[in-house]
Amino acid sequence: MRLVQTLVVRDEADIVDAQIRYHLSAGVDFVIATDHESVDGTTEILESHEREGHLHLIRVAGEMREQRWRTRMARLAATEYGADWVINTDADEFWMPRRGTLEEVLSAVPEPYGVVWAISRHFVPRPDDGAFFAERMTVRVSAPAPINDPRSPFRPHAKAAHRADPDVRIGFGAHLVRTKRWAALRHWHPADVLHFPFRSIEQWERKGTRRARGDKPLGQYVDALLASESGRAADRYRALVVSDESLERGLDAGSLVLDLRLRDALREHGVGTGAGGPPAAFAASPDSGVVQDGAAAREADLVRLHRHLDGLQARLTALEDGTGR
Amino acid sequence: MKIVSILAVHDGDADVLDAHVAFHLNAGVDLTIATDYTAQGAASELLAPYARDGFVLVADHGDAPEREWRTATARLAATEHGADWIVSADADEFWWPRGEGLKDVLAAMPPRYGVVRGLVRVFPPRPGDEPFFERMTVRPSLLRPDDVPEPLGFALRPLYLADPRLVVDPEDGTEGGRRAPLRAWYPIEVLRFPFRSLEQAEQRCALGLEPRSTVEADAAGAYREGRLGEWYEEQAGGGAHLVDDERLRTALRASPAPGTPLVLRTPDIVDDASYAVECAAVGEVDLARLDQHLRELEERIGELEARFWPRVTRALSRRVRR
Repeated sequence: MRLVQTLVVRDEADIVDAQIRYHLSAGVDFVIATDHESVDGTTEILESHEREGHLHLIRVAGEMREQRWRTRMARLAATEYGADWVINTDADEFWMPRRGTLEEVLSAVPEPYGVVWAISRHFVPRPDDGAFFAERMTVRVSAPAPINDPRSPFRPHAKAAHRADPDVRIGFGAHLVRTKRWAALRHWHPADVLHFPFRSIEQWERKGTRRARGDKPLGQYVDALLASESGRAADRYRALVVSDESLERGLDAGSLVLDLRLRDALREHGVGTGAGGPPAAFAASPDSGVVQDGAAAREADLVRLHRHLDGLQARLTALEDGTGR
Repeated sequence: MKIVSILAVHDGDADVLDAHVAFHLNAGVDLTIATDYTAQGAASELLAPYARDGFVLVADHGDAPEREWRTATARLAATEHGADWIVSADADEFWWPRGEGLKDVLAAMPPRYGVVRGLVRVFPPRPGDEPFFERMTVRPSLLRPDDVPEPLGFALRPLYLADPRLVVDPEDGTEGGRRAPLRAWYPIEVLRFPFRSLEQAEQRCALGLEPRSTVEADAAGAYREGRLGEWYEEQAGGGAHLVDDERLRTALRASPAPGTPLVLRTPDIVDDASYAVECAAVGEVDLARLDQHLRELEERIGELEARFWPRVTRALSRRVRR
């Protein structure tokens, strides 16, 4: 089984090398990366992986066209790189199989099923003492109900992996996949996506201000842009960072949990240190919170659907008004 | 961004009015348009200092029904005062943003939402002679599985994106679906203090105002049955499952000069996770409601089609005949 990873990236030099090396150690065979005008050293990191022969680099410029780029890479994975399965990633996401390797968990999916989802597990920013992000960001959200705040970076969602298909279409954020060849297997999640969206104030402000002007300006990015423009970025970011006091409250309430899986995986398998080695196999996770997080993700999807219908209703009402209903 | 509040003031509101106006000015409201329903214009007198400084306008709508005068005032706010968002408030309410201020919360709101809603928190009366905000610092929550949420019409209060054609309908903030609401997350909490003393409770019940919470409906019933005093004592005695909420007391004690921004504490992820449980408990979104929503849309599309295709067919037939 050949597993290809796609990656959309811009200015994520603090994390992208670890992300690629981690996935190569976890069962990914090849990476296709789209670099969108990086200027912080990300391009050079991607080029070094390309020289090592396990990455194909695509450079793009201009406006963000995320769905188009993801779709192009997913199709290339099928047509040019012999993929059996494809995972679609961002630089701040780490696909962690719930047991064994990614190859093993995806191989277990019976045909005709060919689309599965991994639940995103959001890690919260912690005080920045200059340590590597995976060493200090070891706390994640486990909210008992979905946080449906459009300004929150911690809204529940899931990311799709799919069998190769030359006609596949990938939706925004790779949360949706459209394929006529394969059936979707819902409610069974072979992996977690460990997600580290905000790691330092500089990275949060840079990402927010850029994405707020992109093709889909989410509330969390607009929030960062407005804070930046009004000179309140430090205050706003401070409110996002989980202090030791908040951590204690969150651990007591069960809404925050310690999760050392990525830190330990990166340490054990020398990811980021050039140690390499065979695919990393992970013990079955005892994390019962996945049931709660999976339920929260489904509830959040219901809310998204309802909000979408509200938009359609508003359009329908306008049509009815126009026809004199 | 400009936020305008449209406010009704009734007899019995004297003890909350100053706190209400001062708090909202400091939380981000730029202008309050108050409609004075008090005897002999008592509210206008209380509001005079704010009016002199340009923070308050007092309007007179005679005996117009609430829906009518609120709509007229909201349209005035949009057309004459450049409002971007409109709060439709009562004097005993404090619209508490879950962020640094009302503007902070509304600024990043995706533009497709024409209405966001506040989650109503009704504070029961507490005994004593101190100002209401010093005593009334406990309220029910929705954190326990057996905590019963208010019916949706009571639990949520709309805050509108300004529009010269806006209709303010307390029963339906979406104007029959014309405005998409932000569902299942309520970025503002409406702290409501309807009964603050027995005397004021009697005064309020005598006015026969439309209840905006179960507690108010119960009080109205007790008043009609002549047992309001008993009901009030029972309420003021406290109850099970109340949680401490001293936010308003802290804010009003700080009490900066009118128009000086209050920088409120932004909830952290732990607060948000807990609040998410309460938002879910309100029960606005579930599979059954989604199914009903879909069916209603389907029916309306069917009606449109039924009107559209016969017209097209008739038009084509006429053309063919010619």
